Amino acid sequence: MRVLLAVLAAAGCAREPQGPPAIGFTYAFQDTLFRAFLEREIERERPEGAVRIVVRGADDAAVGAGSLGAEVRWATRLAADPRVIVSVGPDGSREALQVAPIYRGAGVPDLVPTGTSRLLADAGPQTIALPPNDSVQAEVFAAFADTALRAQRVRVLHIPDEYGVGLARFAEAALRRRGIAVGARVTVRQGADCRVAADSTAFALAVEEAARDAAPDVVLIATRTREGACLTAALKRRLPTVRIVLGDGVDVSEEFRTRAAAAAVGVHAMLFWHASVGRRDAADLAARFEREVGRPMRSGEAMYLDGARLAATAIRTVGADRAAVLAWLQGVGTRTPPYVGITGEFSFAPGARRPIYIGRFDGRDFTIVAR
Amino acid sequence: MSAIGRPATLRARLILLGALSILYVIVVTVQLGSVLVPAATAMEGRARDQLSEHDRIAGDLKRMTEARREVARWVPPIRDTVGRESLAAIRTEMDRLLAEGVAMRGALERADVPLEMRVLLAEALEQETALGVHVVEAIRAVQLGRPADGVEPLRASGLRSDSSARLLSLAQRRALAIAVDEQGTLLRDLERLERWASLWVVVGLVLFAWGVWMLRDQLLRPLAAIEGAVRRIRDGDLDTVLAVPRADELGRLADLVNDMRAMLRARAEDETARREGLTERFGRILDESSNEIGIFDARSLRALQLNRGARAHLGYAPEEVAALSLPQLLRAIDVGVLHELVARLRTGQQERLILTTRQTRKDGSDYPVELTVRLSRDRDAELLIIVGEDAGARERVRELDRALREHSYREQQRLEREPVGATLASIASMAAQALQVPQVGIWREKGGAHHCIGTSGPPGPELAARALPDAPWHLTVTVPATARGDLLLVAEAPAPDRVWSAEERTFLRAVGALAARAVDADERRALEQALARAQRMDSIGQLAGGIAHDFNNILTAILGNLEIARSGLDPNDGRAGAIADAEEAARRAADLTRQLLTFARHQRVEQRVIDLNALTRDADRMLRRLVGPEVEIDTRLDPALRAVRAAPGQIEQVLLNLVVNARDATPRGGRISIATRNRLVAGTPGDGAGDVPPGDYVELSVRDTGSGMPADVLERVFEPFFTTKEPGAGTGLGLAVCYGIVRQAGGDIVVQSAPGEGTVFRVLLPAVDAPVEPLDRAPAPGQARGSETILVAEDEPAIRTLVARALGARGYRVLHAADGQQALDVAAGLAEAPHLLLTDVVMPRLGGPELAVALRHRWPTLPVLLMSGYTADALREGREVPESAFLAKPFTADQLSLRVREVLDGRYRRETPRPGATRAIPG
Repeated sequence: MRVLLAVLAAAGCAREPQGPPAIGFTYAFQDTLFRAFLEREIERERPEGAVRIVVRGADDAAVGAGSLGAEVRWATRLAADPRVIVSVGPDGSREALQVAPIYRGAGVPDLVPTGTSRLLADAGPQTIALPPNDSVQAEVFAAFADTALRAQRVRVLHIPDEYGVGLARFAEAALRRRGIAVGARVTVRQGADCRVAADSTAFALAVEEAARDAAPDVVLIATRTREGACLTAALKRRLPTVRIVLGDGVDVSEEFRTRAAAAAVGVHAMLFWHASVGRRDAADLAARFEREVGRPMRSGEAMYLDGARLAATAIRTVGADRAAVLAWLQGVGTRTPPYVGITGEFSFAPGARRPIYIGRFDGRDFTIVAR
Repeated sequence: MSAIGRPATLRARLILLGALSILYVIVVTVQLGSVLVPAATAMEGRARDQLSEHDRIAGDLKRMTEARREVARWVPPIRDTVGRESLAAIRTEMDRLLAEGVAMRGALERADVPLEMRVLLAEALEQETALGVHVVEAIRAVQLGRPADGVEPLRASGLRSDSSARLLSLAQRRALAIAVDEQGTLLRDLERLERWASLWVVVGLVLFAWGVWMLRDQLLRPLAAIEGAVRRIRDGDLDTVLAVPRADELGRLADLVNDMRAMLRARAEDETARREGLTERFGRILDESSNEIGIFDARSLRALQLNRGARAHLGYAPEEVAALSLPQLLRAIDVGVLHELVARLRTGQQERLILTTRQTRKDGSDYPVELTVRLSRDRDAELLIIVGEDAGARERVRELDRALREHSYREQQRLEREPVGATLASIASMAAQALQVPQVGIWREKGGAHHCIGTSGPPGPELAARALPDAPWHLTVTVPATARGDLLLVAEAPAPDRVWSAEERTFLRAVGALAARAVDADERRALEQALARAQRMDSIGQLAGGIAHDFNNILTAILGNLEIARSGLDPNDGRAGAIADAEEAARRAADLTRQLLTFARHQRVEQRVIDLNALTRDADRMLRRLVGPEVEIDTRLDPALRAVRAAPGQIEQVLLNLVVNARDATPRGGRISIATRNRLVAGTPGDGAGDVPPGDYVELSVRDTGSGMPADVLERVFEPFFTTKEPGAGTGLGLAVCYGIVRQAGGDIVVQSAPGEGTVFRVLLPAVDAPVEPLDRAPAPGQARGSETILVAEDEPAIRTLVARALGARGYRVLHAADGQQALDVAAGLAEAPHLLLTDVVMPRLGGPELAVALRHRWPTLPVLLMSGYTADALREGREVPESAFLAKPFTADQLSLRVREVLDGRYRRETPRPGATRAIPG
């Protein structure tokens, strides 16, 4: 019986997967409009006669969202689908590290659009982070705080995951190298919402702790959007003159603006992309996005878009083969020229740098003030 | 039968098979054990390792749970009594716990962690991290002096932590359950496999024992019974019935053995009667043999049977055979010697005897015979089988063979002096006589058709009309010996009962070889003769052509000057008559040279597609006047005659010459038959088609009933100046001209004649499938005048002067030069092109063709008229000077002016002649 099952399994393995090749897509925003736009862009860029590539989203699995367990289930499901040649997502470092062994076991290349933890570099060859890592971001922040903001005392508020801890740690080190005083890190709970009474107090206490010994003139917030918005509001109430710099995990979105309210005006944020910088075709694409989706494209979404387009290019170049696609991706910038995306050039050669910007939010949009 | 006859071997093989099977079971069992046990051990080890791993993870979870409980215990002190230092210590501890939580990712990364467990661990990590942050927040609240703000959320969180604790506990239990279940399933599968293996081994042993019992009781025993029965049948016992009361294959085999026994018994009962019938049939078969065959009892030497051939030779009736004995037939051999010879066969000293002796007929006469004697042993008798052969017949064949060889020598001699037909008739007659048949025919096969080329009967014209006899009783042999096809020899037997022996067949084949050699020799000789004649005729033609060329130049000058001289005299002047006589003599000389050129095929002619019938009809009246009333002309023209390509004037001359020749052969009157017919030439010898390749031809024959010609005359009849007429009665060029004309037209002329049998000339011309062309009409001499400028180049002064005078007298402006180079100089001084270049072909310094080519560089459309006394020049210049005209020497002033006018008017067709093509010169 086992022999028979083995033969059947071998026959099943030998069979070609049915349907066109697919890009696995795990996207925390759960925005169907964005996904539809992304699919149209991939199809629009398809050369004549080239194979069609589809996007298989994590939401297809209908396994729920918003937790590490869900990310594990999504990755497991996508890795088991022979049509999925490459995966884009998840967005966070902790989630990416969580699913890395799953993709590694299945041989699926995983492009991490916004994860910045240095730990991703050691997660395995399949895991390829697209943005600059947390140490680079920390250096940019430190330089900005030093030269632009003339910071004297800086506090870092962060969530206790690989992203928050990593950015906080490297920022402290970079600031100390510049002779800037750094107070103790303040941890905030991930998922807390200042609209909930109990959590609101927690944010106030965190700000209180940050201001306890000596009030900082610059604060770096390394959290997600919701926590970042709540902290911004709390900080501005407690320290009206403090200047706030948001890490890349905070997206100055509608959610942010709702919670931060007036405190949002004047904050600085670290961005991987903005429509006002970079290539003209990127600006065109951003305009098309706003026209078709009905809102401006976020920096993280631009990274997702670049990840998906890069994946499609790889499949079209070397075919629907996971190993070949991985090899091609690893050679971008070395064996092949850098890939030119919306957010700039991608190169995975050692020492290659990615752009990062710091913008000031004026209540409607950002003005890039440093890069 | 032989396989069943070795039960011991079969039994031994079965025992061996059983032993091997047991060994196999043991080996399989041992092998299974050696594979299963280590596999099970390894799987168990892996299961235990995984259980340990899960225990370790569960331990991590347990420690986290305990830490969470420890934190829960800290909550009241945090609220009430814990100091700043203690809180710092607690915070440090919490950081450690968080770090441990992060480290749990290492466990999650292990690939063999089940998905469900991986998810549970991820969720636990998430919650524990959150719990830790709650504690930190609580501590922070206490430190900030707002314990209520921190403890209450922590308490609420603690409640969630309770649920988290339950979740962790559940995760631990489920993780363990998953691991245990997985490994337990594996172990259960392993045990189940072992149980099944053992069961199948036991079942296999039981089945094997059952099989051994089956083999012994159900197969070996019945086979032994069948073997015994078959042995008894072999030994002659046809009464015992085999008893195997079964319905399976062995039962059916036993039934078949019983059926076989019954059948053998029935056959044995019929054997005697069958033998008698067999003897009778055998006797009939013996009778069919052409040899003498006798069967005698070896002990008594009495005759048992004589076949028809033997009885016929010996003269006995069938009923008399039983009373005969061998000594009675072989009286030349002593009886004792006969018995001694039989003893030699009986003892095996000799396998057969060959006796060359004489056999005595019933009437007492004897004849030579060669006997082959063999001994055949029957069950209860010894038989002498004697086959006799008539030694006389063999001797006759040998004699015939000797005669054949002698005949071969004679025929070789005959072939040297007689036509091959006579030789073949002689060979066929010899064969017919030897084979004692009325007729032997020799045939040649080609393309599926058969032509009789010789018979044993008298040769005659009906030979060709004979049809190949194909009666099955005739003897036919094929001899693939000649270059032009196989020979068939047919010996025609008078009656269907003729039986041909191998010797006769061999003999006829040898006759065929002889005939083939004769045919080959004849063909070879004919080819040699034809080659010699062609060489001789070609040599004569070369000589005649050369002489004629020189004569032509001379005669041109003579004729031209005589014509000019005569034109200047009063017709009543006596010198004018002398000049006229000289002109007549010169014309005859020119006619002679023209005939010589015709024979030598150097006469340039224009060939056209013509109808021989029309040409013959047109000439009929003239021919009748020519032969006179004593000779009757009989014309038989084939109405379906095909066209030929030839010069009509020349063919008319051939007909005229042949009829004149026939008239001269019938001085006392007779008949001349002129006939035309279509003819297919197949290339067979003796077909009277001369030396033409096979194909479709038109034959024009002229037959006379005259005196005929002997062979030595026939041999030279076409040579020029060869004549049997009185001196002065003929030039000897008539038939030579015919020969030249016909050969130039691609045909041949053959003659058949014998003294007293008349003569027939057959002209064969290739038939063509093209429409007949009308004849050209020459322009009237009176129109041949003009005023154009003509550049004349001729190295012979007499001719140059003649041409200049003749053309000048007819109004032309003549520029003349002594050779080509001088002509070029003259032309260089001309402002415009002359209207015609008239030039000799061969000249010193620069020849006519070279001159024409040079002038045409300057005036590409310059008309050119070449003149020469040698037609070969015309053939050459036609290739070298395209679109040129030609005038053969000798010519008269009228002929010259006519040709010049034709060329100037463009009536003379200018074309590049094909190699070998010729053009007529009107006038």
